[in-house]
Amino acid sequence: MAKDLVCNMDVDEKTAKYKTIYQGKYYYFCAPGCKKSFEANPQKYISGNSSPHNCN
Amino acid sequence: MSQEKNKKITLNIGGMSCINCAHTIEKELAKLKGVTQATVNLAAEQALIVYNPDLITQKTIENVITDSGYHVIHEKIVLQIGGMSCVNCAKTIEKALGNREGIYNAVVNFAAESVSVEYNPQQISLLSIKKTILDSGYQVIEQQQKTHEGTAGEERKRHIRHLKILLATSVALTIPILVLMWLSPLPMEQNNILMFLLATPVQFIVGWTFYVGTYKGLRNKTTNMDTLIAMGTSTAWIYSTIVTFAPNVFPGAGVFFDTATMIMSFILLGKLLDAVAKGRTSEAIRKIMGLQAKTARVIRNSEEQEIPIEDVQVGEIIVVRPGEKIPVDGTVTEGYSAVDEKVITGESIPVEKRISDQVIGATINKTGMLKFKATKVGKDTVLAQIISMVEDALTSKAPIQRLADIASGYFVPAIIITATLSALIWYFIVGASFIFSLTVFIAVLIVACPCALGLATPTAIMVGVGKGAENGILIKNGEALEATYKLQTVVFDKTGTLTKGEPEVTDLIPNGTFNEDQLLQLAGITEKNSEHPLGAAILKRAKEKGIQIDEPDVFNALPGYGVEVEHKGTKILLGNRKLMEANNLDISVLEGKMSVLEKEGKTAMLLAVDNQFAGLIAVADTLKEHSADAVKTLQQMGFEVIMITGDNQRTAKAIAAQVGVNRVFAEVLPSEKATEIKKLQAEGKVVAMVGDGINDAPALAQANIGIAVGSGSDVAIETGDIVLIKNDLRDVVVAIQLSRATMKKIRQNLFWAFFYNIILVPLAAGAFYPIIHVLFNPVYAAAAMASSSVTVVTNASLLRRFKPKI
Repeated sequence: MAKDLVCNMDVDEKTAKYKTIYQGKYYYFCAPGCKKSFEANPQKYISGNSSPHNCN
Repeated sequence: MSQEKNKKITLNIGGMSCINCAHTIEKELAKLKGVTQATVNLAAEQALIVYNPDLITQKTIENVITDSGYHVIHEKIVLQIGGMSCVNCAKTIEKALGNREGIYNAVVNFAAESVSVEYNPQQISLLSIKKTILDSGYQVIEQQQKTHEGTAGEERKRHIRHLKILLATSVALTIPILVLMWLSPLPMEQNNILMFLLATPVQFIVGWTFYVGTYKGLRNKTTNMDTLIAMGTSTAWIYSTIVTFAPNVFPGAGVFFDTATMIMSFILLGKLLDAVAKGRTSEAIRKIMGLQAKTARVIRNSEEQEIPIEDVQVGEIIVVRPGEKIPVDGTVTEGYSAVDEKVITGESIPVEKRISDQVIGATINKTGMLKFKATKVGKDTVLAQIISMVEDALTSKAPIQRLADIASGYFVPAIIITATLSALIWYFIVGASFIFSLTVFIAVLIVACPCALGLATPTAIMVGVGKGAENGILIKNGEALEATYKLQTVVFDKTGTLTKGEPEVTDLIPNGTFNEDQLLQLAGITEKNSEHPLGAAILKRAKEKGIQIDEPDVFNALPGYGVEVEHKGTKILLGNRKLMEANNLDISVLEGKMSVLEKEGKTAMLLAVDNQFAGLIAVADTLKEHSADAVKTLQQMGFEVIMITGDNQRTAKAIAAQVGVNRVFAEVLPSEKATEIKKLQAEGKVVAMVGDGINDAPALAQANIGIAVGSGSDVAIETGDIVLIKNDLRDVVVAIQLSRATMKKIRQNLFWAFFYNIILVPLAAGAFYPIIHVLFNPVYAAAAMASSSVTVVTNASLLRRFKPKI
């Protein structure tokens, strides 16, 4: 299981519909909103200093 | 400050969108010293300003409005003028109009017999402009825009007919005078009286036009060619009349009535030939103005109605049958046909038109019935814009003409002084006979030809601009024409100018068991929903090959890497090397080919299906068909050709190599293109910039010659000094060659006009008499003078034979 770094939900990397690549590594998301937020500011989510919030 | 001193003006203001704009203008105006009241009416888009003209000028007020981001609307009108006999008349009209309040600018085109007036309709009405022209002694030929060709043509024909009658009368009376003069069949006294009877009607009936012209000139405190002719012939007539009736005043002297009438005949012949030749120079332009269709068939209340073209509204559906002219610009809504666009673009092969294609007014529908929605009517159509541009071009003056203008301003007084001084010197200092001195006086007046000076530039510009317009090349001003003579460097924008501006699939290299069609299909699925231009290139190629493209089930754009989709359980990846690396795919089998493609400036995309490397697809923006030809010809003509682009060095160099350009400015932001042009100019170069006229507008404006390349109805007519309607770069070459040919004509004409006067005026003054012992007969002077302006006009009309070399 992978983690959606934006909302901290667990997502299955095999079935995840939303993903992106950052610095050569895949990241998986539960919804398009999370993907968008991540792509807008990936560093913020990778370093993990964001307060988790729900995806809409 | 007394109230009487204040002036009140109303200006039409453009560019205001809200009440705030109105307040801004009011505030700015109120700050000005000398402005006592400023009220801006947003709805009427007008400003009412009360000011003290001693403290501030109207120009300053208008500048302040412009500086605050709005503009004062000036009306512009072109009026056809009748009765101008020479270039000095043009000056008279310009002066008279220039003195009127509310007129910003008035430029007369002598060759086209028109005046272009820029004015403030709030201060001066069209009626008073016309009255000003009438008062200065000329006619305004009333006409409506749409019948431009008809009225102007008729007026020209009427003028020619009038000249023919005068000439015939003059010749018919001159022949018996010559017989009487040479054979002297009667005793001298009767012989002289008979000649007087024949010569007098020529002098005062046929020659009336010269007296009228002189009078008009004097009333405006100017002199013109008519003054010279009236003075010269009158002198001969008065002298001969005195000899006839008071033989004792000049004992033993003979009459020379023949001189006066022959001068008259030659001058009239010259005027006639001039008028005919002038008609020929404006032929191309009149042709363009006559292109407009007169009626349109529109669908109203679901019925076809034939209506005048002026009544067509934007959005109406218009029906055009095969063989008919398309009346206005629009978009095809129904039907399929081939349209002959030669009249607008110069392209001789008909263009196919389908639904949603653009059609241009004045082009001819050839094969099928078309229905289209009008998008541009009236003044907005491509044709109307071309016409107004051509009209502007005709009134613009090449800087080289200024010299001639200055010269012709002093010309006539200088000639009168020269004639008088020469005659006085011969009579009093050299001690020549009275008749000798008189002959010198008349010959100098008659031989001088200010007309050739005035006609040199406008006639050549008229033919050059007309010839260009016939070929889809719109030359907008005289400055650009002149700059082509010193042109050294031609800069081309890359994307959309040298290249088609949209990428195409150039290479398909499958790997393993995959084939080309599979590669296209799989790549097509990944790009089905993409808005990326590279994706569009793949889909376009797939469509051309008739390959069906499905929608993917899952789509993920991976910024900076590519795309990943799922389709019927298959995972497809399309992207760059990094995407393959992130998926641990080995692409080394095609690595060599890929770097070759990249060196060629292409973008290579890698495709993987279910973690198997399937091959690569290369996409590139390709050259337009004739770009390389155009570049090569320009280089052969001796120009340095430069390419400018925002692309990276590698891609830029690859395209430059293909098109044959040696010098490349790569990675230049659109906003920096003008700076690069400026740098070239700082190297001392005269630069032409070729671009699309929209993104490249600042660079086009910065260049000495801005050449905007358009395509059909999308022409950005406002930008650029030269606009190419066809999307064919060989027209850059044609435009430069045509401009140079036009300039060459102007120079030849000006040289001829100056040279002629410089040689013949001293000859007529008898300066060479001590060497050649022959005095210039005033009759030959008339013949020379008549042929001089005809030569200039005919030389200009030879430009009609211009053929581009490419």
